[in-house]
Amino acid sequence: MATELSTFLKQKIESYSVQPVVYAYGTVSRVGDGVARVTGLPGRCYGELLQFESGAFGMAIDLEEDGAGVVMLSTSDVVSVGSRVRGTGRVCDVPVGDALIGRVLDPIGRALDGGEIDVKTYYPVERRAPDLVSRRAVDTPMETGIISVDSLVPIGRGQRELIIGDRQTGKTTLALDTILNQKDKDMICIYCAIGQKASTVSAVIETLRASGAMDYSIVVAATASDSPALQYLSPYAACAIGEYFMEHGKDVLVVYDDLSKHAVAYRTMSLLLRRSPGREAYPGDIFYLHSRLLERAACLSSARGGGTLTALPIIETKNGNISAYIPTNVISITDGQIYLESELFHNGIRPAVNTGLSVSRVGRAAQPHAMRMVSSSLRIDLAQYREMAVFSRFGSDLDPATKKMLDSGERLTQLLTQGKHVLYSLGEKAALLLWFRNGGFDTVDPQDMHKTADDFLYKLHKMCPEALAAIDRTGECPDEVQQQLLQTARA
Amino acid sequence: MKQATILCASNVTDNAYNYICRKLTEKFGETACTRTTDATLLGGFIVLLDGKIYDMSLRTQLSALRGTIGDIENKG
Repeated sequence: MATELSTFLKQKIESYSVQPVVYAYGTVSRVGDGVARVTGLPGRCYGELLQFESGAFGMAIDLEEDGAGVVMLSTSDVVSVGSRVRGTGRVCDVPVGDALIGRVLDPIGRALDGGEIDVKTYYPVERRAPDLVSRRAVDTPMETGIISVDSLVPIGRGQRELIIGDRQTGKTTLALDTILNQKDKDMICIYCAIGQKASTVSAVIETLRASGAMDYSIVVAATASDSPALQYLSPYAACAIGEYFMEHGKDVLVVYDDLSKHAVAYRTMSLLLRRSPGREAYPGDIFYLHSRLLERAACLSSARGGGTLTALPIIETKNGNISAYIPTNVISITDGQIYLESELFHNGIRPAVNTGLSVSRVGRAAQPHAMRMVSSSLRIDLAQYREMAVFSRFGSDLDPATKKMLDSGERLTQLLTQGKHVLYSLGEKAALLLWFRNGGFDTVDPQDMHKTADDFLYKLHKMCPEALAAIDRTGECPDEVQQQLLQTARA
Repeated sequence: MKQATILCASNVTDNAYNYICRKLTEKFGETACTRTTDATLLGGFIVLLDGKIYDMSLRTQLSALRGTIGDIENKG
């Protein structure tokens, strides 16, 4: 075997003909702050990878007649003025494939968890979104395991649902809970960290590992210490990895954490490249930056394999201002938003979902029948409760009907709060809301709601687990199952 | 007149240098050459002319050979 291989290699080396390698080159005329200006090098394409003499790579994103503006993908210290640059003829790409599952990588496919990534397929990070005929309507639920979200702002597979809120309101926790809830649900999850602290990303990875979620998850990370170019590429790379699985008929969830920092990284790059600043100093194409990314989330037709890519972008607001530039852009692009409010969070209502400002534009069509049935009046009940709660602050004497409504609203609010990483199955959520609708919690003190709900679920799991399992399996809650659950609860 | 830079792995003899300059003039018209050394080329030379690199360095040839053997390894 060794002789054969040796002979084969000798033949190859002997038959190897020496030819000059001819390629165009440019010269670095300016470098600093993670960007370089290159003169010469005609015929470059947008997004092409350029290789500097030192071996460092950059990406051409500003094409001009006599050169190109290049963002550095590695530290700019190793590039000097006057050094040569050559085009590689390929755009920035990322490895894709099953081997990535359980791995942590950077936006250009380098493993961050040690070891090599053994894949042979690469996808360009920038790809066209699936066209109209390749898509079908969102019709399958993607459950988060969070009762307030799954009942009031349901998410479908292939949907783009924005998670928005101030800092420290539980945005990442909500996204992580959604990932944790996908265990054994045939969903591949990708967590994309953009401009986050390395310690935060590390904590996220640890949470995923500890819960066994890394068995079906991939982490793509560009931390705050990485170049703006890597931060800019990060969500596109994560999306390209997700698209590979989607095109192979699988369901994928991608969390972009967060697009505010992504917009800031792009603004940094644009200003350094001396592009004209617009509103809030963002460049003119900032809307397109996010729209082209989120358009790649899709629910493919059965002719295209039927895969889905669900996007959960995160946006951080300042002082609850959701009408700022980037938040309004992303709100208008996505199919709904989950708005997390600081005040609710600090009042102990977690997840701090503001049910009035949160909406899901397409998810209702994908909501399981069991949930739709028990949650149809929840939004109105909560709205009435909030309105009444505001008025009740002005007077101490309340009539019994108003008091009853306020108590019920408070109990419902408590029922919709949930501990960190405590997730409910579809059957559990439906049973809780069914019992609430039937007045089962009417005598419970609002402060005891959590304990009562836990006891209620314990009882159901013990006495009629088959009813809960049937709801989980079918997504339906027919009359006989409802009666069975109610009778068990009353017993 | 065109400007060409010839990069060699080590100092080349005047004869070799003049030969390369003459060949460049024959192929591209009148060309003024300058020479520098770059030990990282390992052997051979590189010509920088008119925004193009004509790479005949040993470093690049070895790299191409490594790519060929790598391809065989992957296919095998």
